[in-house]
Amino acid sequence: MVYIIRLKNISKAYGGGKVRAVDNLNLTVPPGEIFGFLGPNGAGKTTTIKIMTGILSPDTGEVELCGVDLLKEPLRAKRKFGYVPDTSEIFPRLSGLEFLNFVADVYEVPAKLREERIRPLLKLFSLEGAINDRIGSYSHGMKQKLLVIASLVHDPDIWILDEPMTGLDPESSFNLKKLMQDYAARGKTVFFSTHILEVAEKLCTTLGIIKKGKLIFTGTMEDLKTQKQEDKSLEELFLELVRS
Amino acid sequence: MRKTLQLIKVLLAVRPFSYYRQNPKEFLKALGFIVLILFSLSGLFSMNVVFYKNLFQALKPVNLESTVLALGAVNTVLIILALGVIAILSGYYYDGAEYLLALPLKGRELLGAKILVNYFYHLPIAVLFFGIPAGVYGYFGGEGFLYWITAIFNLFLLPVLPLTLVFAFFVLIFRSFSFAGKKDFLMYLGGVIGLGAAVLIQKFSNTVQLAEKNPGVLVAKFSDPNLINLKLYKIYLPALLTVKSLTGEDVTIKAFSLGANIIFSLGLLALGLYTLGWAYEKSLKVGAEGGGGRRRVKGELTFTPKPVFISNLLREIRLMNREPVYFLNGPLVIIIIPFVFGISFYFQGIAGLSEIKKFLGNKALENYFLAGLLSLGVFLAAATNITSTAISREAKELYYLKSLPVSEKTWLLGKLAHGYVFGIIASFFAVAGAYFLGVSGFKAWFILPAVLLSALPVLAAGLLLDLKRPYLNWDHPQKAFKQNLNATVGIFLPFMQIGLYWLFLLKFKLSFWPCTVGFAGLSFLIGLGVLFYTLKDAQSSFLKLEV
Repeated sequence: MVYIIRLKNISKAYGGGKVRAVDNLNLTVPPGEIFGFLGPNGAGKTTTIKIMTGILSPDTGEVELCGVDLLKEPLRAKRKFGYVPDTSEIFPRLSGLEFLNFVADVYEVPAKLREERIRPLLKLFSLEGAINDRIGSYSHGMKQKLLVIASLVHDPDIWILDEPMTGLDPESSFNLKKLMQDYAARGKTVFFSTHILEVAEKLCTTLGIIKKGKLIFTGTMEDLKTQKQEDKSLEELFLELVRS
Repeated sequence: MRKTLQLIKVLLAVRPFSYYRQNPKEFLKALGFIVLILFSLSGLFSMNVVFYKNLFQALKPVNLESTVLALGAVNTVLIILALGVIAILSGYYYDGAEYLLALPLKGRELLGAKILVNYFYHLPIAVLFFGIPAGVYGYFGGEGFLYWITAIFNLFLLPVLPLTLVFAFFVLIFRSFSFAGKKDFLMYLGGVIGLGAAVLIQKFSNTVQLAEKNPGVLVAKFSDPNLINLKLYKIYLPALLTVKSLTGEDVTIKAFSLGANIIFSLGLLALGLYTLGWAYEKSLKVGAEGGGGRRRVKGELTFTPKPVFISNLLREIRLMNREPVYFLNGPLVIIIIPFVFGISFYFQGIAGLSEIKKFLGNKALENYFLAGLLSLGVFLAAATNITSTAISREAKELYYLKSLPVSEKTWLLGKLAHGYVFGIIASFFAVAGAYFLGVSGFKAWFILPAVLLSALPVLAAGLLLDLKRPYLNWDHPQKAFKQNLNATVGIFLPFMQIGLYWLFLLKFKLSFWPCTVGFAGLSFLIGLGVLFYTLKDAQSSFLKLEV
């Protein structure tokens, strides 16, 4: 089977090895999936995502994105994904457009193509009127939407989003979910972390649940119900899993 | 009061001593920071000691030595008023004011915490500008124990009223007008006032020189009742009470003056808190409403591609120049320092300038002018602190940058290029200085490449320093600069480098051209070495950076 994301034996500890944020994590995601990464606060979701995006280096393990080893060929691997971080506090003194052009320059997206990709997204997220304003003057939701647009400027194969729904208004949240579905329908992969279990239940084709740095479940919603032999909501099953 | 003290603890990030016992590294850092602050104030300290000692000795024969105390008290108040304005302009609002406004805190508690935090910041000014004259008066006047105790009381009292007055003034303005959307404007305004304060200190420095040369002029100047400082002394009651409590005819007058000073200063502070607390709270609410419009960057919706290096360089320049704290302490320094030199000439009068110009025809001295300008250029290039704070300024944004497909070397070279953009401006200033002093042609333009080559080790070392030990955990951009030791070390490095150059030039009497060409060439080679080392280790250093 072809995997677009492969994490092998990933471990990461903080505080001189005292706190194991990620503990021997193995994970594979095939193309065309919407993978929901769930877990309680401090479970290791963001650390895993930061390792996947080359922000943190793992203590042990391998990360492969679209068949490219992130640790050996970081620049090639980083071209394969677009990333929406969990914090939207970014470059407050740049205008929205300056930021988008900077990201597009980094990915070497030609002028025509960047315009074709950015304009419809600005319209979709109602950011056209504010795009020449400084990012520092944006609301949290506006910054979040800007980061979403920036992550798609090079049309990556993998779209990694860390808590993307935080701060979004209902319409933007709906648009983002639709965008994720359209993206996966094009055979691309969406990997996102969330605390909103209803979103994960309705949107994700595959779920991964992490607890204390260990992956305690991967599979579909149906797999989870079969495993637990109960016809409960994801919220109830999730709570049972993380409490056990 | 209890809530005010808790707020102060949060604002000053006060840590118990046990914290430092458990974190000796933090203790050493805090200690190093204090030593650096003391070192940077040592020049002003010694200048003050010399000035007040000379003034005391000049005025004692005519029984006017208490003028030393009067001047000290008035100067302290004036400087705290000026610096207080700057501090308030940049820190009137609370970070997270919206959250604080939702807590059961009274306006007077919020205002009290702000005033007291500023009080702690301004206390060293009182030590420098009142402590020294009081010390000089006590030591050379052979004063007893009671004098010293009273002087300490007065020293602690002096900053209270000027800070209360400045806050009262700004509370009344900010209560009616929201400046929350104009924080940048306030910062720049503070910078301009700071420049004014620098000019006043320069004027004071020239007065010190005057005092050393001619004590007679001192007596005439400071025994003149029309002197503005002495006029202020007579109308500013706390200054008058301060001096009376130290020089009064008998103990009763001294005790009465001290008691009156305490009641007057603290009474007005309490009155200010009780009458203006609500207004301060209202001004925070006005501020929390925001400034209305958004800061718009001019331009159409254009999508023009640029090479990654240029795009990143532009990002660096924009982020630094649009943040007032960075701009005022960084790139603007290149303009401010020559400006302060100009002011210095102005206060010394045309005589000072003509003395220099007398030597301009002298070919032997011309080389020393060139050496001085080269040194100035290198210092200006480093004084912007662009490279020595380059990583710290990014802070949390580093996470995002690290996820982008750009090599660490490209990020670092972009930061070095940013430093050099302003290094070029510094070198042009040095060339302009040469023309101003009458040196032209090849000799003047030689300074330009010499500065650029010689600046490489300091710029590269600043970058290496900030890459290895960045200050990333800050909650206000100011801290990436002002609480970053790398910025201070980055300014000291060129001093060492320039010191070595002058050592060879003056002590070992090397000829100008071989010495200067050798200095620039060797500096460049050392700089290349530092840069090579920085880039070689860039990837692993970047990965280690965690906020």
